[in-house]
Amino acid sequence: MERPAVSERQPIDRRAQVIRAFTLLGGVYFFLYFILPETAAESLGIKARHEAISNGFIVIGAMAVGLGLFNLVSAHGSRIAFARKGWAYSLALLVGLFSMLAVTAAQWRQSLGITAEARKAQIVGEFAQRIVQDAESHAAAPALAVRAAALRAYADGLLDQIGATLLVGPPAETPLGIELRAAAASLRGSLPRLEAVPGESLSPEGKGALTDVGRAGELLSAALGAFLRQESSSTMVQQLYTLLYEGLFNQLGSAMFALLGVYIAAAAFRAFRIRTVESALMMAAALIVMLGQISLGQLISDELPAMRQWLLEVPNSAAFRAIRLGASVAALMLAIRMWLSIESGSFSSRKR
Amino acid sequence: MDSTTAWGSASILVGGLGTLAIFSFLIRENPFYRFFEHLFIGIAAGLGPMLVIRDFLWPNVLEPILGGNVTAFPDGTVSEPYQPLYLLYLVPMAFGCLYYCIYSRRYSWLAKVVIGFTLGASGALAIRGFFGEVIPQIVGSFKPLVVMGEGGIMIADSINNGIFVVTLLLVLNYFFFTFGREGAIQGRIAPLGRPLLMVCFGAFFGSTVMARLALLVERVQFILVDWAGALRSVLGLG
Amino acid sequence: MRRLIYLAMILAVAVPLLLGASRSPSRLVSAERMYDVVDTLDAKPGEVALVWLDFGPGTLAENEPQAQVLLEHLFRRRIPVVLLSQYQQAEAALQRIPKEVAERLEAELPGERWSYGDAWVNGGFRPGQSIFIQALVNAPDVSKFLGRDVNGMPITHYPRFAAIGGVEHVKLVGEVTGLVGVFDNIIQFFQKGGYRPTVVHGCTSITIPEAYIFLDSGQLKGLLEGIAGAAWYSEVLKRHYPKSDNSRLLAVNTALSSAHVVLIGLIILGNVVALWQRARRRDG
Repeated sequence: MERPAVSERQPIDRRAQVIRAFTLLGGVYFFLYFILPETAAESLGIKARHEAISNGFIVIGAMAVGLGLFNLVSAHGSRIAFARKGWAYSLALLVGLFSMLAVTAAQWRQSLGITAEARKAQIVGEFAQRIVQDAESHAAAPALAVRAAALRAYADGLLDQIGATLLVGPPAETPLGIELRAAAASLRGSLPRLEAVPGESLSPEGKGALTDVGRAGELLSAALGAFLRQESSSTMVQQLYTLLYEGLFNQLGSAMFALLGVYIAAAAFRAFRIRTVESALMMAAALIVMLGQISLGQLISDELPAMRQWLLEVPNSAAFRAIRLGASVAALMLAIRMWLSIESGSFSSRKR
Repeated sequence: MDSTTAWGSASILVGGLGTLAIFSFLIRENPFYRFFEHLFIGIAAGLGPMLVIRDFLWPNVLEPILGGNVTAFPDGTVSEPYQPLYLLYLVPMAFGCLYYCIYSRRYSWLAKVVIGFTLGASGALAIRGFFGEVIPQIVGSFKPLVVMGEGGIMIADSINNGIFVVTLLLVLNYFFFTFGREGAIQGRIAPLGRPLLMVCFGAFFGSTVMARLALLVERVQFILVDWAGALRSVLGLG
Repeated sequence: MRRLIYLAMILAVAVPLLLGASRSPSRLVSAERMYDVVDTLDAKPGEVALVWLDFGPGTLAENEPQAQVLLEHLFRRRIPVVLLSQYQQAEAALQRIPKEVAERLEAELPGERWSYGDAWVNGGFRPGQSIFIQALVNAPDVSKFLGRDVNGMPITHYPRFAAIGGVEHVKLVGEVTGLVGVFDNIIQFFQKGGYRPTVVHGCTSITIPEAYIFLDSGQLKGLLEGIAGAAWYSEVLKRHYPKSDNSRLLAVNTALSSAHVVLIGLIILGNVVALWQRARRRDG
């Protein structure tokens, strides 16, 4: 075979080197994080940023979400476009795919809307807490009385809005509607106490008033979220989601795997034959395990569950542990080889 | 029947129809089965990406980048100042986009850069995982061959520990291929692991049977109880 | 012949279900141990149980009853539960199962409530697997690390989950899954320094032999072995809480027994047929 010219080979090798360098780099962080003592990780500032760095690694993987979609759409889309054999099935697949994407997106949008509404009530609680915190730490902030008045005006506005839009009609009479009404009344009742908040420093009465308003705001937020979620459970989007997810995805997936239940019976009938001492041992172990785990096994002997337990705890655990130890050592070797790019033949586009 | 109940019944009826379609494969492959099979794959493929975005990318990455986690209070102050450091997430996002270079003949090698990076991280994590899992396993294997209790030697426990240790060593030895088995001792010991492995595989088969049959029971119960109930209700039979 | 076997299996399952047959399940020691672990769990205010539901439709038949009994027990004990998943197909299980358990308990005990945000929060699907778990374990505050629940609400918004603190305050880790790799992530990475959590596991039957090695080493404190494990756990629950309803699970377990018997019969029949054929061949 003719050797490629040096000028042709070089760029390929350089690319492989870049890939190897990134492979090594990908593992360096976690390797160092695990071998470094905690104090060293702290003093280097890694510990405080570990969460964000780990998220960064997850982000890289998460960006691959579209790969499967692209592949499916291009493979099945082209089959439909050129009316190849089985195009109708491809159409069913793409209908399923886009329906699920659309319905899940719509449901998420609805959920974000509910969260945004509940957040409005949550702000009452958070703002009240923040006023207390800022006053106690003497942080730079607008005057206490101004903040308390702003809180009261905001809470009043929110309660008016809830009263006018949600606490009307039959939904308001449901248990969650009644709970929401009670939470709203509790917040409304605590608001006049905000007048006790003085303009300068925070008094015990003022702090108590703000804490009560904060707590009432949190309760209202929880009640509002639960109420809105209940209301949204009967929307078209939610029903479609249930139909696709519970009606089709779960049922079809379970049915596919359930086929194995009958296949294993056919396989057991045809293939599980006693021909040697070893296969007899295997059969005996299988029978003990099967009979020991079912209620009818106790009709044969009360000892069967105990025999099954012994079999699993002693010989099975020992043999499985040996298999697992061997496999783990092999996996460790593979991990090291992978990280150090010793198994990197596929990185090079040159055929060996 | 209110709309929620109607949708619930529809969901069960469609699910039952789909289950029967899948079960029809037991007779032979047919268009009814293939239709629902493709529909299932489509739905499964559509679910994943949305969940990654909804449960991870949006709340952990995109929302903080856009400042969505900063709450504006009624007096004009904010819960926390905007953190420009979140913008650094754009780096792994851009790097992760290199996966899509796989579709370009010219730049497909760039996809290998990000695949290599991910493999490297997985490799390093696997090293950590090995020690997290295997060390307690090894420690747990050092069992006393003579177990002493309050009343003296506990014979049953001692025998069990003996069987455990012997089985472990024989099976480990059976899978030890570094040296040849030509030696007289190794040649005789190595095959002893086989019958013990067969006991283990027998237990494995017995457990597998329960796993597979459980799936069948759940489906048959769904058809006989839930689906048949919904069908009767729709047909006004009960 | 093949189709006759299929029919026999379906009938073996269908007949007991149609007849409403129900027998007490086989006693499984591992499930009893798990019951004791959950029952004696000492969770102080602010401490939680972290339960991973990592199963989809493929193993729903076995994992769902396990999740039901584990959550029922935790709810009865009023231990706050954070639900998470490493597996995206668990979406429905995370939403539906705790709600159903809460509704069942509320029907059983009028006047008592198990509400979302108080009895449990749903952290949803979290990608990243081992990377996510090791970051969670090293986080100074689990509540803040988890950020938002599946509804988009900050976890800190719910008073019982507002300040979990470090992972040391996770008193129990429950992993209900049939996926070996997913379970391995918990065993390998859910530990920090001297902290080893109490881990209990609901596994599918196919992974029972493998799960036993972790039970022996103490890395697992309790195990639910497939449907049979869930059925026995529900039976133990019923002994302590007589109003607990496990009739559906017992019906399933009885049908499972019947299917086992038919399958064992098929194995014996297969061997008899093989012997007979061999004898015929020998006789010419």
